[in-house]
This record gives sequence, C-alpha cells and structure tokens, in this order.
Amino acid sequence: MNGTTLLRRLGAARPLRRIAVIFTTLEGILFGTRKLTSGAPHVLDHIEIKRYMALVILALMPSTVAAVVYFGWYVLAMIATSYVCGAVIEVAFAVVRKKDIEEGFLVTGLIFPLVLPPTTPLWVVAVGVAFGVFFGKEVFGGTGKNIFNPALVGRLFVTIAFPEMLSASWRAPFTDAITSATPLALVRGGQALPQMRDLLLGLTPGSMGELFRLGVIVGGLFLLLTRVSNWRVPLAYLATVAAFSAVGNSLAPLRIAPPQIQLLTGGLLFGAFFMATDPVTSPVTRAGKFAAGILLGVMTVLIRSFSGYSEGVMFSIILMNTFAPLIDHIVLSLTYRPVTR
Amino acid sequence: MPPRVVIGLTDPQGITLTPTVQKGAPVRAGQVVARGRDRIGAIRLSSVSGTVEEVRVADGDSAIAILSDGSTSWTPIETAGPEAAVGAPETVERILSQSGIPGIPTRFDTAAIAATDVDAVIINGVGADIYNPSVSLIAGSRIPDLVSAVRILRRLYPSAALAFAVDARAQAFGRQVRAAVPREEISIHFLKPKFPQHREEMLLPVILGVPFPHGHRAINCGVLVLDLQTALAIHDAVVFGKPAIDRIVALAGPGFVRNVHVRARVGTTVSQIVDSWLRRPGDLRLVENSLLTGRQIRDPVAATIGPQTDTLIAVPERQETGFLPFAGAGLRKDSYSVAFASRLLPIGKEADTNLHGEERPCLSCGFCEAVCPARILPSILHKYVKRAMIDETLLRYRISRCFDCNLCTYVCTSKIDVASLLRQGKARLAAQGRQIPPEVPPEHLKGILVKEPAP
Repeated sequence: MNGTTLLRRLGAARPLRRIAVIFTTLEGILFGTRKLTSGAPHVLDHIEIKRYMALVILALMPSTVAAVVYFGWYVLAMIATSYVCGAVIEVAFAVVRKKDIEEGFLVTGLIFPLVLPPTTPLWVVAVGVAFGVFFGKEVFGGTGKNIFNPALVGRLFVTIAFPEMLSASWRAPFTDAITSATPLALVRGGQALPQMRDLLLGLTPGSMGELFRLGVIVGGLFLLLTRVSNWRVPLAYLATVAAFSAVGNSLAPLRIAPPQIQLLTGGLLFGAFFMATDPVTSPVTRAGKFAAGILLGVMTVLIRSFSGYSEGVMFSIILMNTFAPLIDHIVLSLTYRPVTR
Repeated sequence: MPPRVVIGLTDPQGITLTPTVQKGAPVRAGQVVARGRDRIGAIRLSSVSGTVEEVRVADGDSAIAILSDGSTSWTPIETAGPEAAVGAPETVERILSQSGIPGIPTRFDTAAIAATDVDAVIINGVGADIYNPSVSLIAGSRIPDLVSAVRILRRLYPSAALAFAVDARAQAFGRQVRAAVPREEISIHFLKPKFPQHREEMLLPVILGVPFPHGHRAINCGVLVLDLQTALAIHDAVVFGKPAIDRIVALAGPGFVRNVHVRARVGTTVSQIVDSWLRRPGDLRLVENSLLTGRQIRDPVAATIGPQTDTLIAVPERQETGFLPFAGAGLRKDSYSVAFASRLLPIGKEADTNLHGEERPCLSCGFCEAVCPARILPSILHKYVKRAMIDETLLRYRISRCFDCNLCTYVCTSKIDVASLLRQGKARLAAQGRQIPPEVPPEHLKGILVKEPAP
C-alpha cells in the first residue's frame, strides 16, 4: 500500500471522517494532485499555491536565520508557538468548513513572530497569532477573502493590548540589556544618528525579522525576481518615503528624519517587501498598486514624524489595506467607461 | 493513401452542407461531394478516388464516408494552369471557388463577404503556440510558390493591403521572401512568436494598426487571414489545378515516439495517422492544433483530419506527480513565474495534463492580468461570474474583449479555470439578450493601407 492510498483510507475511515480534510491536505502536500485538466487548456503552469508560499518562506529565511543568530533559540520557540497556535485555528476552520487547509497560513505563521520584539513572551505570541488568524482572516472567509493582512492584525492587537511589552522594552542583538528606544525613537529624540553599517546588519534594537536589512533586501528582491510579489507596491512605497522625507527633512529637519535613516530604520523594508506586497490585501489594479505605494509612503513618514508612535509602517499598511478596495474601485471607474450603445 | 476517408459536412459555425452524391456512387479525388444551400458557404470535395460507402445525414453530425481505390491521382480543376494565374480575376475566382479552400471570398459566393470587400490579406507564418508545424518544412523550399500565391491574391483583391507575418525566429526565411517579392507588393512583419500572436485578434492590431473589433471575425471586417499552408494551396489550385485535398500535419508532443510531419488526405482518421507513431503503452491525450485552445480527440478512430488541422499533439495523462511535488528544483517545469529552475536553463519542458496543484481561492496574484493579451482583468471578471453577477458591470469591464486564448487558466496559481468562467459570463450575457457592442465599428477598418515599417 503506498502513501496515497493510506491517506485516502484514513480519510475515509469512519472515526476520522470529521477530520478527513487533514488527510486530503496531507496527500496534496506529499504526493500532489491526481486531478487532470478537463479540457482546453490541456496543460497548466506548474506554479501553485504551495510553491508560491514556499518561495515566500524561502525569501524570509535570511531574516529568520539572522534573528536566531542575534537573539538565540528563544526565537525558534516564538516561531514554533506561532505556527502551533495559528495552525490549531486554521485546521479547526478547515474541518468545520470541510475544505482543504489553506497554505497562506504558512507565511502568516512565520511573518507574525518576525514582526515582534525579541522579548515578547510566548503567551503573547500565542494570543497575537490566534487573534490575527481568527479575526484577520478566518472571519472573512479564509485566504483570499480577508481585507487586512492577518499577521498585522495580530501585531496591531498585541501592540494595543500589551503596550509596555511591545513598544517600551527592546533588546539589541548579542546583548541582554533592555533599552527603551529603537533607532527611530532615538532619531525622534534628537539624538545621534545610528551607523549605516549597524542598520544594514541590524545591530540595533528592533523587531526580530526587520533587523538584518541586507537579508530583507535580498529576500525581497528574490520575490520580485520570481514574480511571486509585484514590484509596483514596494517601489512606489520606498520611493515615496525617500522623496517625501527628503523634502520634509529640508523643511523640518528636527521632526522628519532624512531619507537614508527613514529607509534603513524600523520595519520599512520588511513591511514594503513582505507585507505591503500581500496580493490579497493590496489593490488588484496596476495603477492602484502605485497609488497604494504612494499612500503608504506618505502615511509612514507622517506617522513616524508627527504621531505618538515612532514607527508607522504597521499602521500605514493596515490603513492601506482598508483603502485597497476603494483604490481599485476608483481606478476601475476611471479606466473603464460605461459601455455606450 | 488511406483506405477510407470521412468527409465531415458540418462546419465550425454549425452549418451543415447538403450531399451531392449517393451511396455507391463512384467519386474521384477533387470531386464536389457536398454544397451549401443556395450556393452560399463552402463546398466539400472528395479527398480520394473510390466509391461512396455511406452518406450519413444527422443533426450536427453529417458526413460522407468514401472507400479509396488506392490511386493517388486527383482531378485537376478545369481552366487552371500557369496562364490562369496571370489571367482574368474572374477565372482565378472560379478556380478558387472550386478548389475546396475554405473561406476565400470570390464572386462565386463561397465566403462570408464579397471579393470586393476584402481590404487586407494577412498571410500568417507565426507559430506562436506550444507546438507548431515547421515553417521551413512547409514553405522553406517553396518561396517561389509563395510569391506566386501573393501575386494571385493581388489579382484577386487589387485594392487590398497584403501583409506577411513571419516568425521572428525565421529571419532567414523572411529575408528570402523579401528578396523574392518587392516591398510594394507585400509588407513583411517579423513578429515574436509569443502566444497568442498567431490569432487574428492579435495580428490585426500589430499589422494593420487598428484595434480588433471584438465580437466579430476578421473576415467580416474585410480582413482575410490565411495560414501558410492555405496560401500555398491557393498557388497549387490556380497553377496546378490541385484541389485542397490534403494537409501537412505535425505530430508533436512527448506522446509520440518521434515528432514528424505527415502529409495526409483530408478526412483520414486520426488513428490511421498517429497509431504507428504513438508511444505505447501509455495513457495519452490527443489534442488537435493547440494544447491551450484545441479540442481533445476522444475517439481517434472516428475523428478525422479537417481542412484546418495542422498539428496533432499527444501528451501523457499523468496522475502521479512524485513525492513532495511542490518542493523540487523543477528543471523541466514550465512556469510563467520564475519559481522553477527551468527558467534559467534552456532545456525542454515537460508537458502533461496534471493540474499540478489543488484549486484554491483567488489570491489576486495578478498573473492572469499580466499575461492577458486582451488587456482586461480576468481576476476581477471571473469573480463576478462565479457569484452569478451577470450584468452591465461585465460589459463595462470589457469582458467582450476576451477571445478565449485560455492563458489566464494556464497561469492561474490557484488552479481556477478562469477562462471557462469568462466564457460562461459571455454566454450568459448573450442569453440575457445583452448585445456586446463592437468597440470599433467594422467600417473603420475599411481602406486602411499600412506601410511596411522602415527596416
């Protein structure tokens, strides 16, 4: 008996029938589909969601490995917690809906811990990912139907629910010292600008995944080159941040940090390459993608410079997600005139 | 020579021709065996000499079966000959109307429009499908004949613009044609063989510089699109009097022992052609003309070579995909994305009928939009159809521009049959009586003569 038939029999067995989706999902992962095309086109592209998501995870590897190197094995415990808690919710929904377990969670489960500070307690990771998957995705109907990026919904929730843990205590790599300020906060406090090299390598306090910026850039470009993520949003986003902060810095140097600091601090690169590019929650139309990038850039600089928070990437992306359907609607109504007879 | 041929009497538009021969009657290759009513529409010729075995008249599936006597000769078309090619247009038109070449407008009413309404003729030598018949094999050694065909077309349609679309990979061939025929007679356009560039919906905008009038056929707007074989058949008919009774058919795809071209009489059953070349044993799927848009040949014993058949493709029906199919390097896996190593290596890609993944909800990844030659948004349109929202919005988002190339389904990351949903949407709009208005009135195409772009 080979693996396929074993999984099929397990799924068909009476006591396991309720959780049959687990076995069909497993069969799909291990042995692929047995389904054939039913007509033209008779052949299909080999890309599919599993490969698609696997590439995102591959692109996140430099950040993940760097986080483990910088902060130790605790990072792996956080990632494991995130995957287990998120998976429980994901599988529960799949079983109730009697649909295959969707692969989008594989990315959410990894991105979520990466946007947290390395000092986050495991139970906060668990609560955050559960909230994000449940309220950020499943209540909308699952992958493809959600309005907000689920990882950011979780991050936003824990930021607001546990402010003292998520925005007041930071740890720099290779140290045990807890500081209260990230480079962004220091810049806003009018203190000395951090070294460019330290920012690129991530030797400053911050969320785990965003620090090793060289790796973030390499991973992000990898996704652009494989066409898994679209280049329009990150390009427009980063260019707007650079342009807007350059102008702003010349007008109000004390409030608005210069472009090189804006680009290389906080979660900007990580957000631009891995979260703003989420195809489900960003605009569909090409012009809409540029518009979203510009909106993101303006909001990020504004929030960073003038709000009570020193970081604005998360809020910007959540706001952009909110406006994505509206942006698409505007683009479509401008592009497509009603048919005249 | 096939021992038996079956001539289908129903054309793709669903119009059935009336048989003009009876069971048991002797026929010769090239003889008319069926005609359209009122002399409008095509004729059908017997492709072999022999006796009529059966005349089957059934709704939508009429056919004449002819037993061959084994002779390879054919009856030449009357009045044809080298002098006819330079003779009066009426003579040429009469020959072509009797040649059995489908869709050539003449004053003898065998096509959709009158001969005087032809404004442009495009000879298409671009093979932009996954598998294409070889241009050099079909026309490489026949450039003088091709030039002769161009001159015949010029006599037929004196005021029409003539254009020749050449595969950009066949530079040498295109230059040879250019050397043989002056710029004033025909313009030559080198086109990248990017699917679906060979479709008339793509050829018209590129060559004539006008948007395609969606919802119409090119011929209804005065543009005649011919493939290389048909252009050569025009020469053969007028100069040699040879009726259009055979086709060169490429046998392509991994399901064949060797990929060869065969010359086959129209009406030969597919199994007679492919049986000796198919890889056995193996679960194979036979497809006519295109893996992306062609129809599957479910019964090769009954299916026959039609007047438009140019490729027969055999691909494995593969149900096994190996262990962890999504994780490998993918040396031979074709993809629009650059997610597999195959993109970096110039080696052949595998083709099989597996879905290569499970169906999932649409992620709006944008691949379908990026590849859509009609420049519409399949990712948005298919959702409307899926939710049964068939209304003006579909028209507004220009679902009518879709010409069923099926690329959106091909690239879909979530394995959604997007193209079928768009087809459903168009059909249901039509069923509601919502006419899809053409975006460019056909009159706009009239009198357009494009100059060949400077080299």
